[in-house]
Amino acid sequence: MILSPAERSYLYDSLAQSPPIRPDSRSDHQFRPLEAKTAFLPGSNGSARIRLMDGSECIISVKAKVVLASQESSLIECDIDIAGFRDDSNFVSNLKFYLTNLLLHNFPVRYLKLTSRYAFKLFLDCIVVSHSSYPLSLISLTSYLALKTTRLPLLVSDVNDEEIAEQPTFSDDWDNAKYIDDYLKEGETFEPPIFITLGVIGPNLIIDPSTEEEQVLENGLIISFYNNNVITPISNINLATNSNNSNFKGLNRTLITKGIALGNKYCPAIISALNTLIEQDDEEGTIF
Amino acid sequence: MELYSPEGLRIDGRRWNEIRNFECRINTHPNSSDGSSYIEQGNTKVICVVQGPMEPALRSQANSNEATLEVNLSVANFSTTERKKRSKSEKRMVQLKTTLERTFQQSVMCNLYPRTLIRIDLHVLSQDGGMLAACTNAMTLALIDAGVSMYDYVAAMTAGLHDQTPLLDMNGLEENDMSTLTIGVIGKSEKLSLLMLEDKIPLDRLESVLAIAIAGSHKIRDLMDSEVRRHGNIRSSKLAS
Amino acid sequence: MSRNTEISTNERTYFIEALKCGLRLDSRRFDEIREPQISLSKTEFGYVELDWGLTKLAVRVSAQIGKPYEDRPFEGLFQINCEISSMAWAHFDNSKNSNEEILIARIIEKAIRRSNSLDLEALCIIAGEKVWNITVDLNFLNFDGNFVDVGCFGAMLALHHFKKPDISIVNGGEDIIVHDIDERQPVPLSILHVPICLTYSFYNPGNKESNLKGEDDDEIYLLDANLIEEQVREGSIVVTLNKNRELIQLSKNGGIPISANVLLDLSFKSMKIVDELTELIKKVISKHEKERYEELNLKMLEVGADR
Repeated sequence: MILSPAERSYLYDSLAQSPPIRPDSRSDHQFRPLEAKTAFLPGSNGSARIRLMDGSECIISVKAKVVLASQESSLIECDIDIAGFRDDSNFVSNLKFYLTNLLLHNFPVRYLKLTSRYAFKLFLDCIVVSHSSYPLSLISLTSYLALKTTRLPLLVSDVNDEEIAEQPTFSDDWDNAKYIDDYLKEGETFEPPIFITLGVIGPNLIIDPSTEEEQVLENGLIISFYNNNVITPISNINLATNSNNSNFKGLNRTLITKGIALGNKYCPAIISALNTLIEQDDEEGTIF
Repeated sequence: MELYSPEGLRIDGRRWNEIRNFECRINTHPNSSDGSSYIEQGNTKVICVVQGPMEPALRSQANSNEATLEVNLSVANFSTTERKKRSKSEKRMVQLKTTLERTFQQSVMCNLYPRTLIRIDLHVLSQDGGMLAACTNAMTLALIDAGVSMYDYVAAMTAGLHDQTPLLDMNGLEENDMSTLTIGVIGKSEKLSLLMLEDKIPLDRLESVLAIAIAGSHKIRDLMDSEVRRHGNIRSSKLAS
Repeated sequence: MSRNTEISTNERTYFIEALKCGLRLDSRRFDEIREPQISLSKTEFGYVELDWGLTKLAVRVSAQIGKPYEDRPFEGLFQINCEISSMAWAHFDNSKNSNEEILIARIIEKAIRRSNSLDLEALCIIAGEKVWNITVDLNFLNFDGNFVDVGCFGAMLALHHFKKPDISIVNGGEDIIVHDIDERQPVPLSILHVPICLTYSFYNPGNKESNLKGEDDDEIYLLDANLIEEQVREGSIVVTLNKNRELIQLSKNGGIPISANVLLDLSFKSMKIVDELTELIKKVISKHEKERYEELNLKMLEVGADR
């Protein structure tokens, strides 16, 4: 998106106010409204779709496969397909790396272990049907919903197969399938890690910048959040693609601490909103 | 496994001349596209999003006589029971994409939109037989939703042959085991704009298979037409109030 | 694309008007194919040159020993490579995998490979270990229309002509000996049926809209179009059949629609030409066999058989 100098200057000045005035009249910590649907793909273990009001849309499926744990380098694999981008483009590879890296380091992989030799491997496949702003937080929130609603069939064979070589067998009844949540101990909850994007403009940080806002940002921050805390990786990035953004510059370190504080303060609300979405989702099969 | 029982029932309980559950919606992505549709043909599910007619990004895509159609077909990795990583440059994918482009190049009144590009993105979420047919139907609806002029509906359907009996609208299991004919019919005519047969069938049986496939396509056309009218009525009632 | 020689409007009109009068520019009938000129290599099995009008094709079949796919341990490997370079026609640039080339290659491959025309199980040497890997290379030397029909016919001809060296298995299946063709008579491939592709090109002299809606049916169908006819055509369909009246492939990639009756009509009419072409392959091959037999004086070696 290319903005005229007048538009850019107007947008920059209003966003640099204190408090910032955003073009869609959101406050600095407000997400764009979204609608979601979960568990709509009968052929997958878990699935979710999120649609933002600007038409951005992401569909994720989680499929589990039984593998020999010793032969796999990791038990989670992600793949991202973005309409209009080549699979080997930098844009797609970067997003794929962000998501894979976050999940590999912050996912309770021990619950995927089935027996001493076999484990579930999760394949996360993501389709971005359309997007306008940088799609990482969209993808990550969708993956949260998909993982949270993933159901794995119940193991009925013996867990200890050290001596006897046998393939694990599962209960035929899909009603017996368990959510990853069900494997956890009392008091623990399964909340997959998420990313949020922050825009840096003047002294302000704005959560979930829209495309227009991305055009005038001085920098972009990506913050990851897991188990009620902001965690690493925290990275900065130019969120705008194909733009004439000349404002981009270095990042003041105090803004990083401010960003972490902002994440710690508001991410729990995002997580609980997503959990409410799952609870309220009706069981209707189709997505449209 | 018995694909067609002596009592005349198929593996999913249908008779020989019954189509699967057909659900379609248009205008599913009003905020992100010029036209969009979603189709479920049994368990085959396809999303179609149309952008355009618009100015092409590349000079080479601008044709001074007619619009250029660009189809991007992406089949999701999770669309089959066994997950499989698919590449867009696979020969089969390129062939399907080219087939769709060429079919619609004739059915769309391309001469009305010179120097423009119409981009069509197809996402196959789940496949259970009849993928090409579902893609064709989804494209027809999305192009109608985008307000692109077409001569008539292109409605597609598959049919196969089990021993002597022609079977309509094959599902994935049947498609693996029998030869399948995919056709695309223009409106209510008997004109075929798309034809694809990949396995052997006896020449003398072609007529019966073709006849039932055409009848099925006409049914699909009616179902699509009623969805378009339903959506049109909603819009016009909004305009009136 | 700039190297593409475009047909002028005058030429186009002249051509269409001639069609309306029932004439083709090379005075063939509408459903008549050009006479193929075949030359089989006398020294080498599986090398065939084919002249089909001005379309010229060289085919080479080769065999190697390879490992089968894990899920199909009893089946040999078989592939068809289709090379269309700018040597045949400047319109084709040498860039890999243009859509046109993929489409042609896919149609030929589906006609021959997918229809199991070659008995793959007969190519098995040791199950799961060693099988023959048969490769057909199609090289178009000059192009005057009709890649698909010529390519498919050429490939089938070459497969009939080809012979693979005889082998024997020794040491209880551990080793194999490949016998030189001078030492033992080589073995022909086992071919289950002969698919023949026929391409029909259509032209619609009337109004496009009424044609699409099926209000008038006066399209003209030409079999085996040459270059000019192919450039002017408004649609085409490939029908693949064999002598057993089996329809192997129907493929229509865009173009003006064809009505169902015409399709049936064309398919039935095609049978005659399919029979002729199949017969031609049989005849040419057996004549060639006989010549070779006499030339090498193989009769002398056959004392055992006479007894």
